[in-house]
Amino acid sequence: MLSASIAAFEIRYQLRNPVFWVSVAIFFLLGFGLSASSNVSVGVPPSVHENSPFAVTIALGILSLFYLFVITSFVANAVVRDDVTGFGPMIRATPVGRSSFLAGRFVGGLGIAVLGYAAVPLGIAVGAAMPWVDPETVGPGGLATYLWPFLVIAIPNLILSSALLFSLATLTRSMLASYIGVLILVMGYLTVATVVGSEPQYQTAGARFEPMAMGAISEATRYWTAADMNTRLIPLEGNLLINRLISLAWSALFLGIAWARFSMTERAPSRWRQRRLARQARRGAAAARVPPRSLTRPARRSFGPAHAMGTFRARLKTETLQVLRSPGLIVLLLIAVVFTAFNLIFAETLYGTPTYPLTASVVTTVIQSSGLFTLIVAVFYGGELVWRERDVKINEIVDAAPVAGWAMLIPKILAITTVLVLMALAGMLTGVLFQLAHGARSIDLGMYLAAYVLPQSAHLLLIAVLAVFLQVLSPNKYVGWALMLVWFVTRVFLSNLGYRDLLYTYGASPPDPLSDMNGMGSFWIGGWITLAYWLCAAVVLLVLAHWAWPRGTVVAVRPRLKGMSGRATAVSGATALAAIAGMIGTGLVIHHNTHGLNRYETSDAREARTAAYERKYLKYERLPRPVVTDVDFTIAIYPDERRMDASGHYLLRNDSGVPITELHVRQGDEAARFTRLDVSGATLASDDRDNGYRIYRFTIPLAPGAMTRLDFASRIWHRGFANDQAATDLVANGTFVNNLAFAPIIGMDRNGLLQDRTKRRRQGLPDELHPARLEDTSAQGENYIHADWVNSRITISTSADQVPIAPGDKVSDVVRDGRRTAVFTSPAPILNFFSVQSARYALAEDRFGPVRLSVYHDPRHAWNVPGMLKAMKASLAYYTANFGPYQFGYARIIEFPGYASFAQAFAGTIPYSEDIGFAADVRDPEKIDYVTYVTAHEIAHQYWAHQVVGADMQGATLLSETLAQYSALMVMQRLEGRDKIRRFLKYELDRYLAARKTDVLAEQPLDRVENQQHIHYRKGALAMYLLQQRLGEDAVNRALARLVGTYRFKGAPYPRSLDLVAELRKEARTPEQQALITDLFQRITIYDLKARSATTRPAANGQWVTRITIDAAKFTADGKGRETPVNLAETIEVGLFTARPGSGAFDKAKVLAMARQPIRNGVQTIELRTAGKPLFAGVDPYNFYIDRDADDNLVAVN
Amino acid sequence: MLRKGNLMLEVKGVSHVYANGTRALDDVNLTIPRGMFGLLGPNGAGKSTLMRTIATLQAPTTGRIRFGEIDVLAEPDRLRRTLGYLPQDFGVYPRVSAYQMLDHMAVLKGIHHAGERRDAVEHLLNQTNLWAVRGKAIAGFSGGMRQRFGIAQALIGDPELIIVDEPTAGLDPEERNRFLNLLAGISESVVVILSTHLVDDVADLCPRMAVLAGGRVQLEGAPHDLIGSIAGRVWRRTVPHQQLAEMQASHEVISYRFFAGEIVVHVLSDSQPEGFTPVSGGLEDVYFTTLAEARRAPAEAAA
Repeated sequence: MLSASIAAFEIRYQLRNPVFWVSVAIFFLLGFGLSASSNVSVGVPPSVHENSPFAVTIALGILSLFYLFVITSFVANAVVRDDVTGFGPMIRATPVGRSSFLAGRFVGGLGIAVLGYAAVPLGIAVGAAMPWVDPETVGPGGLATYLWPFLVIAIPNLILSSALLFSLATLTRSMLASYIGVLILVMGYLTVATVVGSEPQYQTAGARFEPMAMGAISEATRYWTAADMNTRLIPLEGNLLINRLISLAWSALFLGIAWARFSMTERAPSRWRQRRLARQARRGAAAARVPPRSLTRPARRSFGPAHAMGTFRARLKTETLQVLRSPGLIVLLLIAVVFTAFNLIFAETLYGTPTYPLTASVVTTVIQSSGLFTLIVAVFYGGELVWRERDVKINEIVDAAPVAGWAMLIPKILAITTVLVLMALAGMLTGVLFQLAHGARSIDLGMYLAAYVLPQSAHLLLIAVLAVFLQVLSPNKYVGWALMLVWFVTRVFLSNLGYRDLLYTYGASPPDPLSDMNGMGSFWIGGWITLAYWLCAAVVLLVLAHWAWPRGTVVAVRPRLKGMSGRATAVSGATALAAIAGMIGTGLVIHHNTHGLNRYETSDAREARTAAYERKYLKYERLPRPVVTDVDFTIAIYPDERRMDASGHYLLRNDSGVPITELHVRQGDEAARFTRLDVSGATLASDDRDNGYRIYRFTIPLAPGAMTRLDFASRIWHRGFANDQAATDLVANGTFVNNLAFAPIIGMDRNGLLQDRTKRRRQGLPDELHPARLEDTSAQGENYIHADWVNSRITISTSADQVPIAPGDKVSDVVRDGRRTAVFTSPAPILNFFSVQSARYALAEDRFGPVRLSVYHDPRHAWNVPGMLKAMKASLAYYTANFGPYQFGYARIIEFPGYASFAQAFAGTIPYSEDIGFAADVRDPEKIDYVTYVTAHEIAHQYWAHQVVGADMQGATLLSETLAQYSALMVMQRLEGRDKIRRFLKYELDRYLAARKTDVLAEQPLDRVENQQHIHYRKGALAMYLLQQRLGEDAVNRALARLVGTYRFKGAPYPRSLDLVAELRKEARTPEQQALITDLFQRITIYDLKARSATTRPAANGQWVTRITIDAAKFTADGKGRETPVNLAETIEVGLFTARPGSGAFDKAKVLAMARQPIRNGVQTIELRTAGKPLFAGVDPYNFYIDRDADDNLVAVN
Repeated sequence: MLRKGNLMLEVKGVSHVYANGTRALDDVNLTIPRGMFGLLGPNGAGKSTLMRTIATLQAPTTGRIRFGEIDVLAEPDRLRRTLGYLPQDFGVYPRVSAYQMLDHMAVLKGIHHAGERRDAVEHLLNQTNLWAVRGKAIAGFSGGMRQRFGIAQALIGDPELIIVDEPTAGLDPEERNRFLNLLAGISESVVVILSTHLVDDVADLCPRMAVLAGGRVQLEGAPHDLIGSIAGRVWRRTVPHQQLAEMQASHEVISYRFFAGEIVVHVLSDSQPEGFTPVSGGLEDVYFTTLAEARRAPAEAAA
């Protein structure tokens, strides 16, 4: 009873605590953001509803970790409070026993924590009901959806967190120590979880012991389909049940510790504290012995300008010291630093391989990870500093002193600026230390300052000023914070509705992408102009705040607003007017840039326009068109101006077999301006400037086989800055433009149409556009790239210090009048889809027979250049030996800035992002050398796309991406050995399995793949690898060589996936092999192979006999993931090893036995004899099969 | 600078009505010359509102306040330059020592010469007996030390108008004496307003005083004259404490106190009531008489 009333008091007490309401607001917003914004996610797959039981479960689990910091304030406060407030002795004098006192306080703290955490599901539910949310991304919700995960996941987590903090606070008796303890625990937890989470053998242990139940949730749901995630409540059974019970047991333990250590009597000061007190006493005594100076005559006083400056300096010192000495700042700095370091260390990497810490990417990560904290700091301190004097009750003294209002206000703003700059510097220091620790060769401190510290501090200062302004308009700081929240939500709301003009979005700046090659480019200019604009606005806000400042004892808002005119002086009024003038001036500049030089369009308008375009023109997709046979371009790039002038002509031939009356000519990039576009023998019949769609009508229809010519001139000029995303194709150093941008496109295709299902539905379009069906042979008239085979001649010029590159043999290269001009002609037909590039490149070269291999790279990014050349050589060696001749006398890798992270194969030229290949750190042999892998893949595209290209229909990418993946795997196998290939297969398998669960499109068999990456890359690699295991590498390569022979550079009709399957079937010698081809390419087949256990014993003559128990099953699945068991009767590898396959150190020497054994459905035992003692045994140990759990294929031998 | 001869605080017709309708000050008129002026009144009488209004912390609804040549409401900053103010309840910045804070206040009060500021600060710390603890955080001070710091900051910069609001609350007798002593020492040349609900503070120190109750000035004058004015009207009787209610019913009781288990009752009457003996009244009787009359006035008006 007594405990209950203590608990009730605790809850009532905390309900009045602002921390409670602030945390409710934050966690409500987090939940709200999850369901209301498509940009916020806890990592649920895109096809899973944001308010599905699964998403709610994950969100409640993850957020409970961050909620620990809030719980600290409730629970630790319940323990420490009495000592801090001095109420301790009074409480201890009451007849309340230790047990009921502690129980009451704990239950009260827990109760308030649970109450506050309910903000998360509430936020999700409210967010899901917002009008802009696409109905397809949210489910029906319902009470159980929120309540069950709350009961099963949230409440035990909160009990454990509260108990932990209860004991932590009891032991340390200090809020600060509790916070730091929590910080250390959270970081430790995250580190351990990340390290352990990546090791499959700890999965069960993780599921049982990981305290927040994230491991248990992921284990329980690993085979869930999207439909399961959307409908099923997580079952409280198995490891999840064990996990929850263990968490409760831990809670009991922590409470026990707290109970044992909590003392109702006041503890004597510790020895450490006694020493400190003694030291203080000595110091005090010494101070007392010094005689004070005495006043001989009254001190002189003055109140002129010197007084204003003097008081200003004194206030500034006081404000700054107050901020710097506040313990909260240390905590915030620590959190921000640790969080940033964490993000840097565990930044998402390609293939799990780290990258060299380029300043641009480190700065980008630092900016992203520090954003939320610094925003909170700006808002928090904004409230604190307005009301600080009042909070500490010194306001009457200070306000009655002869200090000018501005000398009170401005030091506060400067103090908060100091905090913000300090936070940014702490982030910078973290980034620099990270770079140093990872052996960065050059650290661009200038970029840190110019791209991060200065603009970020300034932007947050804007937020802080807004916070101050709103605080001044409020009768107390909680109202002020609430107003800030309203502003924040309104901004998100408006932004989601497409209202994001820089001119009215407070504090907004255009995005300024960073790259290591191009530094800040010229993108910072727009940022600083908008910053100047908003800083002027901030000055206006500050003047208003100054006029309405709560000086004296009146806090009510209305009298202060009424008194504003009385406080307006000539100086403050002039300041406001100057700031308004500044806003008008910079605003005009911004308007000129965002509305004049660049196109301004709200996202809604753009979406509607794109939809209208589709309705109007998609019907012309199959309209017969002449093909382009020859292109001749003259391109002049002016990198410093971000300008490109192009002119040239196409030769076109009517191969369609019917007379052509109309020629549809499109523009691929709305930034391009066509100054000339003439088609000989045709006149412009329709010119849709808005959509860049022109229709020419031939005076005499173009007869079959007849030729015509198109002449054009175009200019792309990125001037000033745009409201939204900046164009990054034409930049000062690292231009990368493809011909679709500057040259006209013949005929309609699907590029540039709306992709997002939500948007399509909103515009009344079908959810998705499917490619033509595999059986629709009429679709063979176009290839899937919509590019014809052409002969090319390209003259390209750029500034003298840059290297211009286009596809083709370089026939001349001269520097004249500050311009470098090169001419390229194609030695073989190339697809009319290619890029031109220009930057200050260093060049590394090698040869493969007659082929000149080049890597054009930033001089500072030379780490992987030798590896790339080696990979090109090895690739060409394999491909020329197995697939056919290489068509060019050159192969070029060309680096481009990290505004995008991909490599792309054009004819003999491979643009490669600095972010993926050039900065990859592949020194650790444990890591996947994806530089070689990706290079081999892109070189393979010179065959698979640039010699043989699939028809525009289902299965098209099987002929390019799948075969490129296969080719790359074969190259890796040559370079690293057969026994190391498992790592690649495992990586591909995991990606395939993860993505197939979540793809919104129905899954297709390989031969009908609809440009789905997890199918054509991931599953394709696995299927082809298993096929060459069974048919033999040579047999598969023979089939591929025949494919190349038949379709090399061939125009319509383009080949289908079935043509590849047919060639492969010619190599299949047995019914089993034929069945395998069906399983791999024409069905969705899933295996479940599992090694249950293995025991070994020594046998005669030094051999070992090992019995392996294997469980096996095989399924076929339909497009929705429904699985049907099928009979399994295949021979599958079973192996015995002295090390775990898949590690970087694993090689052939560790293999004791590896042989195919007949495997059937169900449990079976296999006995093997080996010469050495095996430590690991497994079925399909190298992951050749598409196995829905590839982690259980291996087992340790007993 | 002010001319010494003209140094006088004039409060004319000051009324203040809070947003919720509470009339905290009702046509207050006071003329306060140099020296210590006692402002007596019970809690809630409007003393702090008047003090804050004079100290420029809030504007009255109507009225005028002049200090010497300064129109306080029109030029608050001019008054602040010569004002020392000790609020009724104040706090300090955390983690700031007495020395730092006093030095800070000295700058705000216009002492910009570093050496002179040091002299002034150290002198005041010594005067307020805070010298030994000057390096300690004020937040950790006892009530008396904090109050002495309060007076130190009010005195810095040689103010000509000193307002101290309930300064002796919570001080032990010795602290209180020391505090009043300090005030008495400076009150000869400047205007000091001492607001309090303790009659003794005023009786001991103030040559002039006023009683504020219900937002109105009920009485103003020199304590000596005021005591004379009630001569022959206050009577005393010692009765068992059970008879207090009876006494209050039959007489106008202005005060009572316990003494040795019985109760000593003072009543107001123009003639000697039966069983009562005359009292040679003190300031306390003046005060309570005034309060009693103030209570009676609205009651009569209502009747």
